[in-house]
Amino acid sequence: MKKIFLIIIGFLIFHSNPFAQSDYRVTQEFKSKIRSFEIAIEYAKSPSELEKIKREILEFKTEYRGNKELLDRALYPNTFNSSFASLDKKINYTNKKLNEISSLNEHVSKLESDYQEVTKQLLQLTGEVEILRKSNAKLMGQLRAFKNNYGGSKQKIDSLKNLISELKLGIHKRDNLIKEIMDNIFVDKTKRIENLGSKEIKGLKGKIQNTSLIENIKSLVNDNIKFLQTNLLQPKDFNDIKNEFNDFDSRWEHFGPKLFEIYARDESQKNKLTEVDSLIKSWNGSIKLSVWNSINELFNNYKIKLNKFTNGDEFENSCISFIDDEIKKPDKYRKVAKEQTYLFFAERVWNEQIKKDWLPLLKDYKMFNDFQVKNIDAKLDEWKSHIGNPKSILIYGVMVVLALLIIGSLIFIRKRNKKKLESIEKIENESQDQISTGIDEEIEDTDEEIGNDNNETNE
Amino acid sequence: MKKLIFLLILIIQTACTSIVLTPVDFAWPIESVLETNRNGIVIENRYSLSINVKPMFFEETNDSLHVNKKTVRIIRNNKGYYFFVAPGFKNVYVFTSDNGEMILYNKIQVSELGLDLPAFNQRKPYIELLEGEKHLFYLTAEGSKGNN
Repeated sequence: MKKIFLIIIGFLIFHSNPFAQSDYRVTQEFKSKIRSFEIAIEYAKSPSELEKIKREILEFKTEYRGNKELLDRALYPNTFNSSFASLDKKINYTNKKLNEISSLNEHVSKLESDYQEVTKQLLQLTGEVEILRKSNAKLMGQLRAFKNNYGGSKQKIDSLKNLISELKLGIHKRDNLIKEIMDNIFVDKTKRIENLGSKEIKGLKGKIQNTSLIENIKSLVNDNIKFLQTNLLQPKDFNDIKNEFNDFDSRWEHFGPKLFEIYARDESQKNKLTEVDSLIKSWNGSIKLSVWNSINELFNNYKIKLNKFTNGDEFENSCISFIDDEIKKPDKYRKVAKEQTYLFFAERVWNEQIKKDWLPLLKDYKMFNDFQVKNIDAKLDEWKSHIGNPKSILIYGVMVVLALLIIGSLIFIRKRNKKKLESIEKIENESQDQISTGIDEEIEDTDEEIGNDNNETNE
Repeated sequence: MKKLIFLLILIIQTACTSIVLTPVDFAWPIESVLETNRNGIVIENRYSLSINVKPMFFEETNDSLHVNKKTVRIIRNNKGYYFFVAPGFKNVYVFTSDNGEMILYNKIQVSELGLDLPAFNQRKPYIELLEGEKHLFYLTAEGSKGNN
């Protein structure tokens, strides 16, 4: 009975449904839909979009579940379930990828905002650099003018010192700003230029141009050299300048090659960079030269003219040669002048300034050594023994003051006598008038008075 | 002596008997839709099958020259017979394979004017023939089992 029932049902199914679907078409549609899901997953732009696709896949799976048996066979070697497992795998992969992209996007947004901030800072820094450049140029001009009229008054020396420290501060500030600009331009210091894309290179070039970086570096080095050439600097200034140079030089060693790489194909910029490179080398040379020039200036201030020297040996030779000349000077030169030169050289310059202030610096930079110091000391001893015990300049000063006092007193007395003589002449004239009127007694009295005054004067 | 001859015959008969494996289901789960190349050959990669269908086209259309890029639909039933049809065909061709050849077993007329969108479905023990989404026949190697 049951068998008959099933046959009837089967017959009905077979014959009652004139509409049928091709298995091939079902399979193709399934495959096509799976492929379209794969593409949709691949191009999904956000996790929410992916979630939507996931829901659609679930609906699709339910829709085709009735064809599972057919599809399991038709999709060989794949199956109905393996097709969806593959989609799940793709969804997970894309989800991971999207999360990474989202995190990268955040990173990019941050970088963009950092970039804008850096660009803003760069503009600000460039403006400040320009202001400082003008201010420094003005100070440098003042310093030159001041140096030309440089006298010895305390007020002038103080003004000069202030000017120098102001200029030094200005240059230092500008150097720091330029260093900051360099740091900002090459934010990622570890990144190699050769690994940068053309867009990034273009961006860097834009920043370098907008901040006039190369020109600013050139002007920075030039200003430092000019500052050194004033030859009015103190040992402390040199320490600061040397530190400044070392700091800048180490930065240039890092950024210089990067700049050269950026402008590898731009001959004009490359030439500018080569110029900067050689200027930096000459900056270093100028520091030492300026030390010697400043020392020479110390002697010049006391009218002591040494032969030109640009290093320790030359300085030593120059001092010894000067002392020898002084020792050899014939006796026709006044002894006082010779003693004064000795005092200026040995006490005011050598002992009080060079040995006290400059020698530590010279030794630190290995520009002068103890042996050379001893040589000069020995030569000074020889000079001292040659001229005898020199008198202090104070003694000469006291003597001059005393002489001046005596001369002053004499002039004063003379002037007083002259006045009295004039009054006598006046009285005599008046007396002659009175003679004519016959007042003889008064003439006698006047004579007596004159006689007394003369006696006093003689005394 | 008779016994001996009988025993000998029995031994020889036993030795010559071929092994039969059964049951066998040759059915393809789904029809293969293939395109002829310029030589009239269709290739089914899944079953590593390649067949020259030019004689069939000649039989159906009397033209064996224009066979390039023709669609051929093939399916195999559980008995191992191959069913061939193509758009425009009035008949379904049933072949058996033997010794490296496809030998026509039956030619079943299914249309007066020719089919536009023929398709096969595997409906064991039958092969269902469709015209588009319309069921036409359940086929066996011997012929159709009925229409709608």
